[in-house]
Amino acid sequence: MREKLGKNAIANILKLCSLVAFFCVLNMSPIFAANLVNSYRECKPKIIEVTSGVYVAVGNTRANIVLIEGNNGVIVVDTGDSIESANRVLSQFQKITQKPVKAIIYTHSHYDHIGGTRAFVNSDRINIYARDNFKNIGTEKQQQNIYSTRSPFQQGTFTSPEEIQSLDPIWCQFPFGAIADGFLPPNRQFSEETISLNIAGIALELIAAPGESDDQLYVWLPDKKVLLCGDNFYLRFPYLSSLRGSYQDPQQWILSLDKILDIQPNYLISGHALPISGSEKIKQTIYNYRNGIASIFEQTLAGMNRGLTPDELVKVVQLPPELAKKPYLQENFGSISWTVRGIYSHYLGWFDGNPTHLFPLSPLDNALHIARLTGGKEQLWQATREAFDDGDDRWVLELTDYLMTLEFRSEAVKKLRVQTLTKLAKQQANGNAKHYYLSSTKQLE
Amino acid sequence: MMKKTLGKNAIVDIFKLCALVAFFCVLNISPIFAAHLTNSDRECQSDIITVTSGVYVSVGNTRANITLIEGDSGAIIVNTGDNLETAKKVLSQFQQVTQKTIQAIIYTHSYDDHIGGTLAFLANDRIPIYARDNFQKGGIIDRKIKAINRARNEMKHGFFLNPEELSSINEMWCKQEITHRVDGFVPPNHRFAQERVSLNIAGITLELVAAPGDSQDELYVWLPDKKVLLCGDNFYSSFPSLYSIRGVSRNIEHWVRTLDKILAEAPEYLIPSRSFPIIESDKIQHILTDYRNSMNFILERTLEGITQGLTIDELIEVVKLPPELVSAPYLHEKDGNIAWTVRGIYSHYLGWFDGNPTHIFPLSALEKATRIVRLAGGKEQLWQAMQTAFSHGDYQWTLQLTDYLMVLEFHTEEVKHLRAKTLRRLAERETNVSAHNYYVSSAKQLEQ
Repeated sequence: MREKLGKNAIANILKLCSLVAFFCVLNMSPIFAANLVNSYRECKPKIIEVTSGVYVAVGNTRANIVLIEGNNGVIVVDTGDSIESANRVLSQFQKITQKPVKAIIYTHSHYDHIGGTRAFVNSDRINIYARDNFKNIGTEKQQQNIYSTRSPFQQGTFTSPEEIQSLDPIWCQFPFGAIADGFLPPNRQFSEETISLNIAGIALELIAAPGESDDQLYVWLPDKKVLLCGDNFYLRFPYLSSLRGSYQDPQQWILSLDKILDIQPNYLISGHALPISGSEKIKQTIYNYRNGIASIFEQTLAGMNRGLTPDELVKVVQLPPELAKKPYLQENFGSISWTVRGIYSHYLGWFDGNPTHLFPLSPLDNALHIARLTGGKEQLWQATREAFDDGDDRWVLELTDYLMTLEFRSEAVKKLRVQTLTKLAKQQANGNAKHYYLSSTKQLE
Repeated sequence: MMKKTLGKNAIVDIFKLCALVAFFCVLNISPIFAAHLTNSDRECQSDIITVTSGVYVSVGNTRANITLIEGDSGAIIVNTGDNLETAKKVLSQFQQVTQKTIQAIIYTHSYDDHIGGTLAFLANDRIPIYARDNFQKGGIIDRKIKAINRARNEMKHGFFLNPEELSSINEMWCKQEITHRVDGFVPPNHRFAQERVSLNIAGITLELVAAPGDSQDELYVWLPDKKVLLCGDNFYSSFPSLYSIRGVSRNIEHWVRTLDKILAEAPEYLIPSRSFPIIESDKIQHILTDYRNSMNFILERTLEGITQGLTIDELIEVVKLPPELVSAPYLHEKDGNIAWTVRGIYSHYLGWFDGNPTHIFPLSALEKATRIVRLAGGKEQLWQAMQTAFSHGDYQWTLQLTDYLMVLEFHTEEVKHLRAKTLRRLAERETNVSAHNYYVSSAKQLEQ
């Protein structure tokens, strides 16, 4: 099944009439992208032909899989999250072409881009390309362990599919099976800034592009003017500072976005968005995206140098109004306040400059003081219930922290906290925060 | 000028004085003496210490010691102190030891108090000044955050404080106002990128060895013939400042590796920049092994705890030095602090978020203060609670309550006044040098 996308149905029909299906130029206006953000649940897995010989499978796996067709073979860029979902994509690809897979390229090492390789490759002689700093699964063990304490929270692995809000608005939220069970390590890694290849008659360049991950690369097809940008652009405010604990250097990300502007592609294929066509539209979009990052980064540093604390900074650092409206800079995945806190902590560590925080009271001492201030634990509990009734949810979280530390009415407090977290999750537009709230309730239950 | 020799006790000292000529006297610091060193009531001294034949350390005049190494035909200066004025004083002391010309200057690293008085020692601009090639680069100061880094540094070191208010890690330093900081700095003109370079200057054989740890651009100076090692700030008598509240996290793995390199040289004399020289190979091995083990232990224990899922508050409760290290005088939390280090490691690996969902989108300071007031029954009641806390000596809680009241702009002047008083009380009983200076500096800001 192949589908073409347009501004609206009429435009689509018009295009259908005027163009042969395979050469249809995709068009995604900001309005359309805005709709995507809201209507992601109504997705359908599909194959989109971006331009002659370049197909994107969307919806089946968390990240898109791209097929590039050459004279005597094909290249697959990224392989999805698991063998099962990659197999679904493979059977769709096979309707387009039966040519053999000559090479696999990983844009980066996140599991949703590398997990289904074995569905496409049954010979270990097939070249799998990646950058030389590609993080193989299982390497950097200690760091992996540290992150793994939080990873399930932010990804929502504990939560059921209907509770999941993905980075990818076009992903169809299939229930999770095995994750990355089809991963094969890359066997062609490069350390150069750019390498040029010719595979199955397709001229392509792989370009180092650290940004969303340090090991990111772009695939550039100069003859077709197609650029595959991995996750350096998607339809959300970028995840520069994650709840999981990772931090991506905004300056690096900006430089890699500038590379897209230099290359001036006619088609841009992201790992988590519908393809964009039209060099002017791509330029505008990427320019806005890089300016969004740059604006937050520069405001944060300037505020830090004026002596503002993270709590003060998150109140003042904002996107300029014209960028704040952009559908692809909404905080559904990354968050501006987390980014501000991430930049602060990256440059200055944990200390915010307030002498009160040099040697803070332990949580227990603090809770005891708060209870005494309130007139007793029972009064604190009453205040918590009132805050809950008033819908003052974030304050309820703080108050339940105190009461749990004091081990006062533990069961009732837990219940109230779970209800509050659930409520916050429901209201939450940010997928990562939502998952974290929900997963936290499961820990309490 | 006065030259002093140091010993276990006065009798031994006198004995030594009789037995040896002053310049060739071997220094001896016993563990007991080292323990005395960490007492803050120790008096400063403006002295030249003879470490071994031809190696003299000037202490007391500047925050970091200045070392003179005398060769056949000239001398080398390692580090140049705070500023021109104090460096000149040190020079005149050195001139009573030797009149030989200074043929080279070496910077162990780029901190202000190690590089500030160079001009005093330079007879001409052809004199080589050695440093590592990353000197002042990618080191402690990131240009993008220069202003906040400088402001924090001033608070931490207490640059605006009177000498009597000021606390210093270098107890030998005769505290004075540091004016005209770094006014005698001259940039290095001989930089090296190698792991190790061997030199012969004025008949002195020496090796400069890359030694990242306390700072990224650090080196140590090794005199193989004399078995003397100048370690810069990679050792000083305190648990190391692995997270400095100026906002700097040190790379602990690098620092540990550097200490291992120093141990492998097997020095018989160790000259730190901010503590007394240590003499005797066994003692040096013992102290430096403890030092490297202490930082390595805190790092490993913290990472282990994170992997087990401990929260930051739980980590601070459980990550402590083992008993055999905790009593070592050179591991007291005088400059570094273990809780700060644990927080530093945590935020290095996991960033700002502590894992508690309450802190994903916390209330703003004003939102929180408004709610705390409601718990207390009103602003006036919160104000009362603050005064009660102060009169009970519950200073940390007082400080926290003044934060709320200041955000609410309630009785601003009185709150400020009490906050300043509280900060000074906290400073009085604070043995950590950085915290002490930070408290007093914060109080001064409020008192202005």
